[in-house]
Amino acid sequence: MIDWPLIFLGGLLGSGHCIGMCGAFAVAIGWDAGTPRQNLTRQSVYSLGRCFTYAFLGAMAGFGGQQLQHNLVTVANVQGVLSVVAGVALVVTGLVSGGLIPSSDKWLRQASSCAAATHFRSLLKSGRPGHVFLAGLATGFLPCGLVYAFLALALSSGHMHTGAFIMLAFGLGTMPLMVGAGFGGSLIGLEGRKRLVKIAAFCVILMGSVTILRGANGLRSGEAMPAACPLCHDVQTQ
Amino acid sequence: MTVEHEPGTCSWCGLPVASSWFWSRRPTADVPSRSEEAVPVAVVDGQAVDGQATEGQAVDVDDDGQATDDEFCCFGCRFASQVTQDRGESGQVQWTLTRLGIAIFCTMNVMVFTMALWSQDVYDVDRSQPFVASLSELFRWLCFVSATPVLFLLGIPIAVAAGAELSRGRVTTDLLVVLGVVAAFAYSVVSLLQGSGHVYFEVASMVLVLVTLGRWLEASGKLQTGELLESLEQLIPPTSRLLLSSGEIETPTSNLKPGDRVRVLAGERVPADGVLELSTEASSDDFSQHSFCVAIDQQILTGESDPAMRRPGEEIVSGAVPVDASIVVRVTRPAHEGAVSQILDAVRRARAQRGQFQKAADRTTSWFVPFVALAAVATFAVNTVSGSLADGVLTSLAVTLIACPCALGLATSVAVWTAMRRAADQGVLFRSGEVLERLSAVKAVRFDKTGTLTTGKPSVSSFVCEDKSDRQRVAKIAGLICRESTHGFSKAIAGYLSENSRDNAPTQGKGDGLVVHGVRTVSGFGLEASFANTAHASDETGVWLGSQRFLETNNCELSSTLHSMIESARNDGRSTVLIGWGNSVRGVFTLKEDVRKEAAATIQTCRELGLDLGILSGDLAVHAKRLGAALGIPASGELLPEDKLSTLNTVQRSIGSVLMVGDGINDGPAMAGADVAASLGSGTDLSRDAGGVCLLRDDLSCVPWMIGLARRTRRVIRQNLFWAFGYNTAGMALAATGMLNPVVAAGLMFGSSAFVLWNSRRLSDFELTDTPEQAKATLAPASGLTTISRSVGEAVEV
Repeated sequence: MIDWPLIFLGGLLGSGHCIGMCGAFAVAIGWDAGTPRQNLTRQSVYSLGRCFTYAFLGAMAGFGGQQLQHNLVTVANVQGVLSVVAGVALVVTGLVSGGLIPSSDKWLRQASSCAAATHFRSLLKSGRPGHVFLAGLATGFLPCGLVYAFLALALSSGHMHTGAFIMLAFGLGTMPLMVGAGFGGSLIGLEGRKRLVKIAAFCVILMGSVTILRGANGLRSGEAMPAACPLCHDVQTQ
Repeated sequence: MTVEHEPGTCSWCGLPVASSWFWSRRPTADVPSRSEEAVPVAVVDGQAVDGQATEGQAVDVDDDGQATDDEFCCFGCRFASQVTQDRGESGQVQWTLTRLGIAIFCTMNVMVFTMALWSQDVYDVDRSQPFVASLSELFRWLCFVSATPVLFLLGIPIAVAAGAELSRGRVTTDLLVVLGVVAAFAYSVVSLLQGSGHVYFEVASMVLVLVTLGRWLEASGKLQTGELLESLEQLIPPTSRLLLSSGEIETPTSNLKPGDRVRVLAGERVPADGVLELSTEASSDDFSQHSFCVAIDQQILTGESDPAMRRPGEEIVSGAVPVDASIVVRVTRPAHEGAVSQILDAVRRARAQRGQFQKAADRTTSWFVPFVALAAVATFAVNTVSGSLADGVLTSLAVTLIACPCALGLATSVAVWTAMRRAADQGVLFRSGEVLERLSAVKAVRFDKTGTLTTGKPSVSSFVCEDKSDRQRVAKIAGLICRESTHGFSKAIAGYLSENSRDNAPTQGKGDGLVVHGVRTVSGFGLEASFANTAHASDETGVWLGSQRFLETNNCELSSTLHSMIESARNDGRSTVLIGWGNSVRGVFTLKEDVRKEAAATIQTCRELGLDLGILSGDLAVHAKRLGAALGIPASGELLPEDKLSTLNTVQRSIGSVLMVGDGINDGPAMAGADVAASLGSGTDLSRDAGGVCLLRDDLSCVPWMIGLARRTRRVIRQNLFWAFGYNTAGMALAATGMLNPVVAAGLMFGSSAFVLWNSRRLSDFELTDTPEQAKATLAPASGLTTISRSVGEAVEV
């Protein structure tokens, strides 16, 4: 019922946006790695740390959705409402990262990544897997619109494990580019990254729209959610 | 980077350490403390000091048994200094962070397992099924395994800190928190072993993580209060290039003595107050000796963004920056007495004082802790009896957490110091936080006239000659005489004439060849001299320049036209200077005092702030009245200093608190008698005035600005106190009735500290809104004490 490929894709393409903020950390981690192999290990461990945090946050969000559904079941179709809210959040994030709505969190991002760099410098620079993992863990908590949008999706899923898996899929999606960034390199130039961000934005908007539709469907029917997303469902039945 | 540590202040944030939080007192000198027995000598500022010298101040002994003079006001500061300490091994820093990271990682696991446990409750799974039961048991054990490291990693440091405070007779809420956490953990272990009953591992670990993070946040908030001091300390370079006959050596700035010569490269800061000397390269060249002139950036002191030009022999203050050349400065005052050091001292003194809001918060905190302890015990007792042991433990833990007065401790100091830093940016220096608080309550402002509302420098408004054809000659003679005098009027006339002679350049030839001899000041009257038509002529004529009375005593007659002119000028409140020779007055200068260009806008802004305004002047009543009429505010003149004081007292009785704005020199009694005194343009020498506020910039528009800032600060402090106190009391009620989970309480505690910090931080970009455009324009270009240090630092690095 969850659009796993779309989530993974959202993470994969959306990480063009991540490099702006977290790319510097990845570079710092790989700074004094002796061999590319060593660097690869570090980068993977770092990204796994991030994924762990994302999965944790996803589990929290899923559990929150679960609790809301359980407690408010008589009040409204909670999952429908949550789906609509999550969908709107995704669409807005997509529009913001696509540059269609001016972003207002630039200050916050700068401040938080600056603060993080100050406090976690010694962990970032240490190079030992444990420290790198902890650095990744901490990075996962940095404020990021994309993460929040997917968290909204996790919330609307209404299950702890589904929420965790949604965020895990997102996190794994961000890995390829972030690991690439850690190789010092911009595998993709600034222009390419901009284009990626545009595609990712589209992807996120699409996912948001699907989520809204699904929520709206659920609200209209007043019953349990349809098993699959309406669009895919239509495609399948045709 | 931590601020310089002084006895009685926290090593991390520099704020005074509260002497006693609770009923008992610290060990005094007659009860030798643990550290004094162990280590007789403490190291303070690199010098060995007898243990008795730090009497009453407990000395920490760290793990290696080495004595340090570290003293912390709270656990947060202790933790924060471990995370970012400069001197410590980087391994120590890493270990502290790693400890925190592992604890957070474990806590995340605990949370997930706990949520999995809760999910089973949510779905009301049939517990009779063996698989679900064993799964539930597995999760409980996993929670225990994940939570145990947290207890040791984060619990022990808090416990150690709380224990250290306890040994000094201070009971902190940290101690209560640790007790609560350990109780919750122990209860959970028991129910885990029994195989029944709830487990609260997530409470124990989340509370520890949140408390640690909250204390860290609190400590960084406190550190913000030291930013001003830190940026000021950067203004004095630690080492200077001392010039000796043998060459140039680097020496610590503190070693500089008067008479030393130091080289300052372009872009560097002058280390001590001194006099500009010719650099050795320039002295060989006679031409460059006369033309040598350096642009000096003194923005930190005057707020003036345009560099000032300085010639050899002129004064240069510490902290100033030569812009375009390297210079040699002969030190006149040791570095620790220089302009920047005086500001630093003022700020340091201000830090050691506690404002009335801070005192109120301290008072509250001091009875809060015992109150919280009692409340926690009572809650524990009631809930254990009415409910279960778990209820008792959890509710009392929640009560302790929610009642923690950490936001209360931050509420005032962070707001006040953010405001003081913002003020310093604009060249406004508060002598203490309390002055800021008093300023916010000011209802009336009284201005001194000369040098405050006016520039203090008179200027010539008109020049009339008895015989119009003789004007060139009179101007020439007056100019030559006035050039020899430093009196304000002479300077004004000389300036006026030199400006106007340039305009009349083609006709200037007429007065050439005149020579003036023997200019002599007749005190209180004017100048006396003699002139000759050519350099070689022997027929010298006596000439007098000064007041009407002076000219009359020298038998210079006044024509009726000039007489009526003088009369009308006098009625207008202007001063006159006459010049005459050969038994008649030849010309009359009338002078006026210039009103500061920002005065009208400032008065307007003050009026918009709802302040009662007035002028108190020692000058002639007619002059004061004239200025008052021009600015539209009441004025009284011919006031002796005592009269000013009694007038202020009347205002205080009828209206309320008064701010007295003066130049800080002539108004001693009045400034001492006012609720707040601000001295304008005190610039380089702070020691000379008693004002509670020093306006380092010579700009009147700072007055309404700083009142606006003070009022905003008071509002922020009230919001902070209201929030901190309101949340504490409301939360207490909820927590005591068991309606607040300890984790939520810990989160709220963190959140309330964050709110207070954020709310105070808003002061850092304070602008006085709805200010008339002019006042805004005059404030805009300034970037004083703190911002400049950065910009220059960057420039040097580039």
